Amino acid sequence: MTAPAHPRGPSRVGFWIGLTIGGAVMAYGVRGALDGLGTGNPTKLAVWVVGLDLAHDLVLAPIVVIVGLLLGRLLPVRLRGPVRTAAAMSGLVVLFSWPLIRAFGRRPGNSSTLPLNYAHSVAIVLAAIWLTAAIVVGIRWRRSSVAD
Amino acid sequence: MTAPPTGGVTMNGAVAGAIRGAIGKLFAWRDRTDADPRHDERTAAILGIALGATFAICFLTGLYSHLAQHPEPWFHLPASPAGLYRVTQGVHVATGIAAVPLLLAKLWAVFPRLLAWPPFVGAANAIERLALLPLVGGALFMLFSGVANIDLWYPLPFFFPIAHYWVAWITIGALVVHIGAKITTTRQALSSSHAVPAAAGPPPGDGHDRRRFLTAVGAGAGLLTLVTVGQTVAPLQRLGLLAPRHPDTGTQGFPVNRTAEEAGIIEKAQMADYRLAVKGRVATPLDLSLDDLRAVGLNEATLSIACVEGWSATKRWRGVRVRDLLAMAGAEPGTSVYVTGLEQGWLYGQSTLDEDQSRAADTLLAMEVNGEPLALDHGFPLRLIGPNRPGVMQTKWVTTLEVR
Repeated sequence: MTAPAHPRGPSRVGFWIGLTIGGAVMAYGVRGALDGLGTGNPTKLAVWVVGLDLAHDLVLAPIVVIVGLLLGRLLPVRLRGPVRTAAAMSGLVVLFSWPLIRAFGRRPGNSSTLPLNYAHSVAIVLAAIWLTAAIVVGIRWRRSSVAD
Repeated sequence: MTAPPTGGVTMNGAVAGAIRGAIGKLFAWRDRTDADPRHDERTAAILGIALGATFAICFLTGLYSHLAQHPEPWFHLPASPAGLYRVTQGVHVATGIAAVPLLLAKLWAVFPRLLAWPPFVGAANAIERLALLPLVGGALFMLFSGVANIDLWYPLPFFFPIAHYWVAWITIGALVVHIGAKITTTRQALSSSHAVPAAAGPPPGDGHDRRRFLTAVGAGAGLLTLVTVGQTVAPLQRLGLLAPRHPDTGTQGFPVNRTAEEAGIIEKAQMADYRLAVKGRVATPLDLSLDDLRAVGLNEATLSIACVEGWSATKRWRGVRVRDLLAMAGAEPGTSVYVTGLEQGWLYGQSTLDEDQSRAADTLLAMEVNGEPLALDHGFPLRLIGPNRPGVMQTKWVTTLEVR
């Protein structure tokens, strides 16, 4: 196993200046959260912040990498880039829209809250993404066949 | 030979095997990213700068919004420009949405480094990497909680504005630590000698290309912006496929945050003897019926309801000028006005008008919108509407102006 590109050592002066200022700002934020959130809630907040980080690092990022690897194995070289990009965009749109699709925030008696059928919206956006990918593949294919 | 495993053990074994396989794949992938320009320091630097800019914009506009809603003694909300809050909060939400793909792309670009071994070299590097936890966790929290909030979804077990505000400070502090640690690396990575992708990189056409990657990230940010920003930029409303609000949708053609039913004021707002009191530091306290108010004289103003959630709707309002009422009552100069409505016991059931705002010609107690009497949901019979105010401070069902 080759050694991975290791994070470089920080720049010394910049690091200490950043740590001093940034550390003070962080301490201000931590104190504010401790004072402002009410008993027990700062612990819950820490669980959310760390939990989101772990959810990204242990679940979302590995899934993205492994799906990318699978697509790389399954697809011919010509399709890889556009399909991977379209897949990543689709994942982004679905992730971003999930609370809308599920309509968690729609309130009965208030027609202005989440007024659309967002599953329908997402379908339109995904169709646009994959249509764009298909066009990109088509253009590249034509260009390369013209070059041949 | 051992006894055949039970179903549960087989399942656990299969899951453990799959996880081991996935981990193996991840580390093999990490080793291959060494030559991939999408995972090099130049890409990380470019995305980092873009992300730093979006977070700086969100932080500053967020501070302004926080100050507007939680006034400090040294801060006075100006009455002009009238559309300032609409712009700053529209920018806050739109920039936060655009930061979602930027953050995910940046984390993907540097993900191989998370898997680096050993995890740190030396004390300074250990501190730097430790500060990534509040930076990444904080950034994810800011975007997750912000997006949930504009979607009117409240999954957090604590009060959103307070948590969003203090985690912003923690995240920005961690960002300053990160910038200090990375400033030299970033400068080197962006200098022209690093501009050419590694010659050993995979062949073009495989998508292993920095420019294509960054273009796709930009397209993702552009796409999310395009399908949401119509909630405040009216001409783009038709493209707002993923906008949680539409400026023209709701009672009387614009959104409602708190309905009359939710506020529990339906009967009280429709009572025949609805009165407005003007009291406090005044020469003559007033107690006025709706007819008395109309007799004072109605004026028009075109102003936006600009919500903290990022949507806005511009309407033509008609009502009594607050400053006319203050003059009638003989309010002392140098005072602010504490506005309360029928809905008591709710955090946003009242608001304060600074002197500048209470004396502005456009600050009205509105009775009509777009030529119609206000609907109950929009504050019938009397709502505050003033320039450059967060929507939640445009108090509805107003009953008292207290000069302080």
